[in-house]
Amino acid sequence: MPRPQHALPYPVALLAVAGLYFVAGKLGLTLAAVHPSATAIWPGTGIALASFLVLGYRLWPGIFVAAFLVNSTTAGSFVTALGIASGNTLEALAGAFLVNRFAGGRDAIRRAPTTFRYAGLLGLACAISATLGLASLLLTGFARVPDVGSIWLTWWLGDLGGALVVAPFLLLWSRDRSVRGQRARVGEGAALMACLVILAWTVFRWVSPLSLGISLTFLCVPPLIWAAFRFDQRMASTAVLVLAVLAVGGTLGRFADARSSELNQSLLVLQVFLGVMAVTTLALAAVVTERRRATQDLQSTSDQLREAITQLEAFSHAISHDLRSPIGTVLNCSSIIEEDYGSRIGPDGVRLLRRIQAASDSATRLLNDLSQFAWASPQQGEREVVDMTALAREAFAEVATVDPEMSGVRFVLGELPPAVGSPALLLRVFRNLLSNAVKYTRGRAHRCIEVSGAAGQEENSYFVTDNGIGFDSADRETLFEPFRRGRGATHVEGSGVGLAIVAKIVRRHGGRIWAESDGSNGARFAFTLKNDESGS
Amino acid sequence: MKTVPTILLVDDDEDHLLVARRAIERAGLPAEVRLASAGEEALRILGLHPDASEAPPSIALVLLDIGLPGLSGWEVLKRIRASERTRRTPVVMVSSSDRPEDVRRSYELGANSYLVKRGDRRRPGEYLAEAARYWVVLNEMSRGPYRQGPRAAPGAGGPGTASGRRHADEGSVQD
Repeated sequence: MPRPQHALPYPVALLAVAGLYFVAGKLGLTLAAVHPSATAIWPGTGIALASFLVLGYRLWPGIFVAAFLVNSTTAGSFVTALGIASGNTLEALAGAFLVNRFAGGRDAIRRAPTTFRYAGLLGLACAISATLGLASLLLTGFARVPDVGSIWLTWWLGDLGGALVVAPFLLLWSRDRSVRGQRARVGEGAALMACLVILAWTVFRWVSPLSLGISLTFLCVPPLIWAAFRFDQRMASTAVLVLAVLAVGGTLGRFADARSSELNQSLLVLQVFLGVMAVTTLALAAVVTERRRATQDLQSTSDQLREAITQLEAFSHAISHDLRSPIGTVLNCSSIIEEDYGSRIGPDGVRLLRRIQAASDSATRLLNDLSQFAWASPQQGEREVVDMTALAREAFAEVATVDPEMSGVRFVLGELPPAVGSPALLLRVFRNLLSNAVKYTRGRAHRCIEVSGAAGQEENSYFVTDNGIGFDSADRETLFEPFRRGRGATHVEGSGVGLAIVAKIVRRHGGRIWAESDGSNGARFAFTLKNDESGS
Repeated sequence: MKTVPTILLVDDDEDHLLVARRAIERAGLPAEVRLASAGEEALRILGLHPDASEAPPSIALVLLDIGLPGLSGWEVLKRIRASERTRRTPVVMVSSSDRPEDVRRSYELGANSYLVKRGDRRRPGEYLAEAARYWVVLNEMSRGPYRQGPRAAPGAGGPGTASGRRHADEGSVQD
């Protein structure tokens, strides 16, 4: 049940709706051609429908009385006016009910799928008014049986026209009347309307589509699409309304004899044309608006995500920072105990101290890695062309100075294509991959680590290959997640963050990373980096 | 009578002060160690506080933590650099943060070096003692016939120099 949105007192709303309906009805009847009571476009249907959808069904007496007054002052008798008014009121009530029930109510035309449903449901509802109206005309002798078909069709199309052209205009503008942010586009809006008016008037007033043998009505399509794409649904519905007024007015004006059958035929074609244009334009505008809204949502979601990541990084830094001090104290104090009191606590005591120290060591290592992981993103503007060959050489030298058992390792370095990014972070990529390779080749005969690369169209590839123990192919996907350690890593030191840092740096540079291994004979880690400045 | 230069340790972490003091005293430097656990207290010792009563000692080096209660380490550093008397006093920041911004900010404010706190399995705090030795010796030289001021010494890692920044980035390498 639609709830009244505006704090309009009931009598005022009733009077306003009735007044509007009466004026629009009188205007609409001036377009009557086939029969004084059946018009090409019946705006009343749109007004009644919009009133029920926005302000509620309880306004029906206003519509009924206004419809009665319009018709009783036009043609026919008291009885016909009563019948037509009942048909008009029932039609709008049924239409509003169906739209509320099946098409999302007053917001039906804000989405494309419900726009089509809205049109279909109103096609049904408008049959009520056409049938009731025609029946009351027939019964009272105001219509002739041979004209039944054309009167019914004109009536039905006229009402449907009102529902498709006038109601959307009212529904959309009643939902949102603000023109904030649109002021800069007043010029464009005026140009659009001028275009529409000139084209519609030219096509419908001066150029007879029949005489040319080909209809030029399609010339009115571009301005409608313009309104749907460049503006919003409200502008699109306004354009449709303007087109309808001009088209009907122009067509009537073109025929000197307003009762000719040629005019009747033209108006029927015109009604169908306007109905199709209205539904198409509104659906298109709905799609465009939905897309615009989705883009905004996406933007705001991605902003929120970025914010969350920043906070998470700061949090993980704070944690590692706050834990580093106490863990350092544990290590320092146990070392002091060993140095100053070692002789007094005996070898067992010293052994226990060593365990404390080893545990503190690994905790510190973990914290350092976590801290690196948190800061593994290039800073703003930290992008330069990096000599990857030199970087790999430097990283290997660093790894070699730290590891005492490097003498047996053969290091093969090919020519690597340059990359764009943060040198410090890319150095860390090589450092972590190489220290990984060194760790996992330990104990193997003829240890060999090879770094190679290949330049590509959009991205360059880099490979770090070793002949170590490799990894289980089941671990391929989880290898780059933090705190994941290979199944063979039980006796290899590390916190499980090293490869996660590598992956994060590579991805933050807009690259990809993956690893291959048969599970026993070495591993190959590969990553790509964009080779132009546009990578992010 | 020859005045003994003073090394001022500023940190709110008592454990850190204990380790640092022990290491510096064991290094046998010709310097006296004084401790402060807050920025205000440090300024008082440095003679930069309005109600400092005693005459300030000759400070050979300040080892300064960043995260202090009240006045932060950076605030203290700013005051030290703002006073004509302590403008050239060597200040080494000692923090458990390795965040690049913290390092950069410290150098921008005029720190001579930046050390990341750590625990050690052998000779805990020795990295602090080594840094202290460097600056105390430099201080001695500047009083002798080669007096040039600490900033003229090669590799001194003055404010924002490349060598200073590189040391700090590597975490705990000493000057």
